[in-house]
Amino acid sequence: MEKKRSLRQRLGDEHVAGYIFSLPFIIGFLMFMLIPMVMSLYLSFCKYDIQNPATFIGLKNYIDIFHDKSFWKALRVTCYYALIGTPLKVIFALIVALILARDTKLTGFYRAAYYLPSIIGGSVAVAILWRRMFEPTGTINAILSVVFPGMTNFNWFGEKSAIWVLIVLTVWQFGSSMLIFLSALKQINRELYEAAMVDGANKWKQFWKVTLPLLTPTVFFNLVQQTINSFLAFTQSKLITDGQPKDSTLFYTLYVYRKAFPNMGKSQMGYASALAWIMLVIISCVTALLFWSRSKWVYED
Amino acid sequence: MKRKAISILMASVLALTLAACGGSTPAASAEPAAEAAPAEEAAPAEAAPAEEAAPAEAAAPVDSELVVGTYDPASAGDVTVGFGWWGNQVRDEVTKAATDYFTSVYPNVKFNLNAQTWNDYWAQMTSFSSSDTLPDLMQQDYAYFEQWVEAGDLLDLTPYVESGALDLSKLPESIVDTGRSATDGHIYAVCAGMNAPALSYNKTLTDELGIEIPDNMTWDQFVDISKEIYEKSGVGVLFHNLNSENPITYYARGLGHGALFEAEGVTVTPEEMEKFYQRLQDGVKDGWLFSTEKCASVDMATIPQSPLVFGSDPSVRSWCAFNFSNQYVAFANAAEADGIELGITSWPEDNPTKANYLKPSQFFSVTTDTQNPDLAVAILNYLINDPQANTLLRAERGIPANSEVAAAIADEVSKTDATYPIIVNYLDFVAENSETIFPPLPAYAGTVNTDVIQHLSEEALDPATSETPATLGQAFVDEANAIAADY
Repeated sequence: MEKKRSLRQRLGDEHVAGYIFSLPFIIGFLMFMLIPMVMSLYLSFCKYDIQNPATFIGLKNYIDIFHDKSFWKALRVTCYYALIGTPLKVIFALIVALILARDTKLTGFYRAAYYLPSIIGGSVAVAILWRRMFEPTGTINAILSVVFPGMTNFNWFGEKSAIWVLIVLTVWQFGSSMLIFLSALKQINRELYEAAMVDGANKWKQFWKVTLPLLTPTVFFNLVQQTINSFLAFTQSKLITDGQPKDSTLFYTLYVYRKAFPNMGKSQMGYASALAWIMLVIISCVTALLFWSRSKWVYED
Repeated sequence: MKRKAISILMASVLALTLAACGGSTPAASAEPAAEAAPAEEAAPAEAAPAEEAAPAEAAAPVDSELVVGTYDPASAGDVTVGFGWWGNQVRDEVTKAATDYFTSVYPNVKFNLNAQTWNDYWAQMTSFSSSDTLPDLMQQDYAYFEQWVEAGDLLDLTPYVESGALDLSKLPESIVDTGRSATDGHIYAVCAGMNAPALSYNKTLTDELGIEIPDNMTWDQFVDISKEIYEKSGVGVLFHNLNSENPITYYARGLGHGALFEAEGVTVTPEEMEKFYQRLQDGVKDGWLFSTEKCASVDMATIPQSPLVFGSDPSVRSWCAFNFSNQYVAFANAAEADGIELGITSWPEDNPTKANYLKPSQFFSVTTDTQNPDLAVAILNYLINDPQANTLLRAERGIPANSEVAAAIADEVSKTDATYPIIVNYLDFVAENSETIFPPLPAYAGTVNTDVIQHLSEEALDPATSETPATLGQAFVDEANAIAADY
């Protein structure tokens, strides 16, 4: 028969203490993640305009989505942005990390300076600044017109180029990937380079044969992280271009937002919830694909 | 042991969740709280809550230096009243001035002001509506208030009007009626001011070019003038916010349809819409009308950045802006900063006197989430009927519908605001050159705006489009009717 123990003793138990300490997270997770997710799953089968009670309509939202031209457009735009923007960003981060890996007096300053855009990157202020810079009479055209006189009134927010304004912004925000690359570079054993040098490998060969293979786990991590981030990007699309022109910069998340909170008329929260669940499936598939490819190119010790 | 630990965990989660729910209860059940709070706080002053007063005989107005109706705001205790609106910088300032003045007379009443742009306002209010935390007073729109009445978010003001707590006797009957819901005929919204569609134009520029802008322009006259301005100065025309039914409604009225939207669908035929899109395509082809890509490169949401008043190069400027007469104040303010003088006239259309209309620019409503309905109604009464309040509001929301107030403030507002007499003149002109307004829009119209009108206008204004005006016209009618049928 078990002895009766005091509350104090029970609280002293290692796993009880563990649960208590993780309670804030568990409560936060339940209230702000799990409950809203369950609700949105239910609402995705409903017609719901927020102001009036939801009515169950089965799979209608999902069926309508597949006939919705704007859905396919938003999906195309988001994939384009994620599949072009993310690799560019990771490559750029790697290049800068390689340059900053050498220890000089100013390295610390440069690291901080290059990391800055990532901290302020998602902010409203940068989005507005970015828009101003790329306006026909903005800074970018003023600088470019010095070299190319024809650029004076180039419209960056045209149907083909607008998405590139957003891609350039995401590439510019390479800071957090760069920091991760930097710490990974530090962990590469110096002896490997010495051995490679003895074997007569030049800097270029050292990079391809030593640095890059040992960095692949980090590349993989950054790629997964940034791909997910790209699929979920919102601020840029909402504030810089508002999806225009002709929905050529309509990110998926912005489309979901517009359906949930339209400028005019009733909210289509049920439809928006269905869109969000489809996005979840898509991101899961892309991530699964990346993990599946892991064994093909990621070097593990 | 493990099971016990889990049950402790579950119990604590439950306890905390309940505690959290408890915290939000007062907000969630605003109705009982609303009844309890004034009863407690205003116990001595039995200042006859509106519903108890006999509807027939109007209660005596409170002896106050402000026109607040029959409820004494001093008896409300220390309260904070929420007030939300969409608008612009000028509106934010004048509304703050009017509410500050109210607080200076009734220091127990503080305001929680919530100013948004049109786009953000509805998103925010919709989410407030679902959590029952709407501000006590909210600005409403002629086109969409029916949807809010349906959802039960707006307080029925009829009993307050009958008891005299809300005095609408100085407003023309036809204006009071614009705030009635079509479903039950009760008053849910009060007109905050009158306006009309108005074309604001850069008078400095047209004077420089020696071009006279006539009133009641036809579309062809407008095209000729725009071409001439474009050829001489490079300044074009930003036609309209692309996602708005306003220009199409105006066009349809010009053709003789009273309204654009009816319960089962749109009134216009595909052939009529073909002509509309033909105009846009021709304008873009001739260069004077902003193309889709050019529209994307300019800011259309805020007045100080509007191409009428902002932009360092003629190619990103528009010589006119399609807006409403009450917005003229804000445009004129922004233009003044740039050294531009503005003019005002009617929107161009082939039958301008049939197309034009006077309308309530916007409404004030009391929401059902208010904890102090009597106080909110008293403040509403102040905003509508108090001359001092309306002097401070500077008729930015339109000319006051209370004709006595409109007359009383004319001199004072004209002193500080040179645009006031211009707007009054313009509204007088519209009153003589217009027909009655269309009924409030059916609920599906908003979805047509965002899902159909925007896409088709962008297509029409794209010089590289493969669509013809005929296919666009057909698509407009088909898609709008499909949405109407599915609503």
